[in-house]
Amino acid sequence: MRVAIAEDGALFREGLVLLLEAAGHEVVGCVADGDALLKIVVTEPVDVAILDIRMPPEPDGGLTTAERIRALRPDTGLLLLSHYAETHYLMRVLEIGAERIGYRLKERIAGVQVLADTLDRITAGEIVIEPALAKRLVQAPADSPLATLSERELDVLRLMAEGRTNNAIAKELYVSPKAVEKHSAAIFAKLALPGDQTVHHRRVLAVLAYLRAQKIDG
Amino acid sequence: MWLRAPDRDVTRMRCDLERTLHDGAAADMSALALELGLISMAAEDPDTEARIDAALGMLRRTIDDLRGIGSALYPPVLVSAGLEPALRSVAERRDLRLRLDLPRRELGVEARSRTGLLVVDHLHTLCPGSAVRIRVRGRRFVRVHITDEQPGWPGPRHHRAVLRCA
Repeated sequence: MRVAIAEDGALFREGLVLLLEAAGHEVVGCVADGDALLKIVVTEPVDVAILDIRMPPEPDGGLTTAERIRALRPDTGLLLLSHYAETHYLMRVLEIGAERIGYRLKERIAGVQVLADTLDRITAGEIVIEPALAKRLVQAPADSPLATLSERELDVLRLMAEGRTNNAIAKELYVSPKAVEKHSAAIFAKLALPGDQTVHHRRVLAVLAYLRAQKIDG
Repeated sequence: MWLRAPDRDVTRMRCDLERTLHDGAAADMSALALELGLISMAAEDPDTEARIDAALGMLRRTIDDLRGIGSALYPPVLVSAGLEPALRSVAERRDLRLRLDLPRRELGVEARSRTGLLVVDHLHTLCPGSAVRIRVRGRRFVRVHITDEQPGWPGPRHHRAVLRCA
């Protein structure tokens, strides 16, 4: 996979290059700001661009650069990294795109397998959401409609909010994809969620919009 | 009850401290996590690998703590995104039910920062499950009215503040 990086922290940037190379990826560019990354992406074929959210151009150069890359090179996958798991950043990321995009905490991709899984999912067209953020969104007070879900349904909902497919959820929970489909249908019915749950990115968007609204209206 | 907003110098100091934490200790620890990930990959025996993974877990918990301190010092989206996302972020983390009545036009940078910190500091004193209503009006003289209802408390409490901003 051909990867380009923009990160203003030199140590993290160098560590990420080493980790990507150890995972067998080719790093075609490694720069400290969004404008420099954009120049690389328009001249070189890049499968995934990795961007720090909080970097030049200030204040959130990663988000503005990701928007520009998506407009110029819609096939390039985008992985936004941050020190903070913020719902506001998540909403901005989803405004940029609902496919081939991810948002993760920096220290949570510090393993070859996790990094490879994140990049593979992005290039496969999925949305990848930081699990810590998905978990926080699924936590709700006792009088929330979420409290009507069983423990297993809450597990499925959390993994849906991470952007996982039915097969990936089945693997994670050691159940069959059919069982996940049943849980997914029950969740959509109980929460009266709109949208087609069989179209992956629409399902993720519906789930995240619902969870976000629960937090706001709560 | 009247609340006192942080002055300009304190606001600037808190913003600088959060930035120092973000660009310094937090950035170095994230880089260290990558380094441990690489060492773990090269580890040849399961015992060493398990010890590295345990160290990585400890490092992640420390970074989580730093994140909490950074957010409390100065919410990361307050300047870049505004008052509403910053207050919602704190309410979400602390499991508070928030009702906001904010000016339609975003406040200027100084007013936004000082008002944001005033409200955020108050939110940090409330128990999870509390209901909070926040009303903000004005631009040069910003008036803040916070009403909170905490579980188990006899009734709502009202807090007010007025900030003179440049």
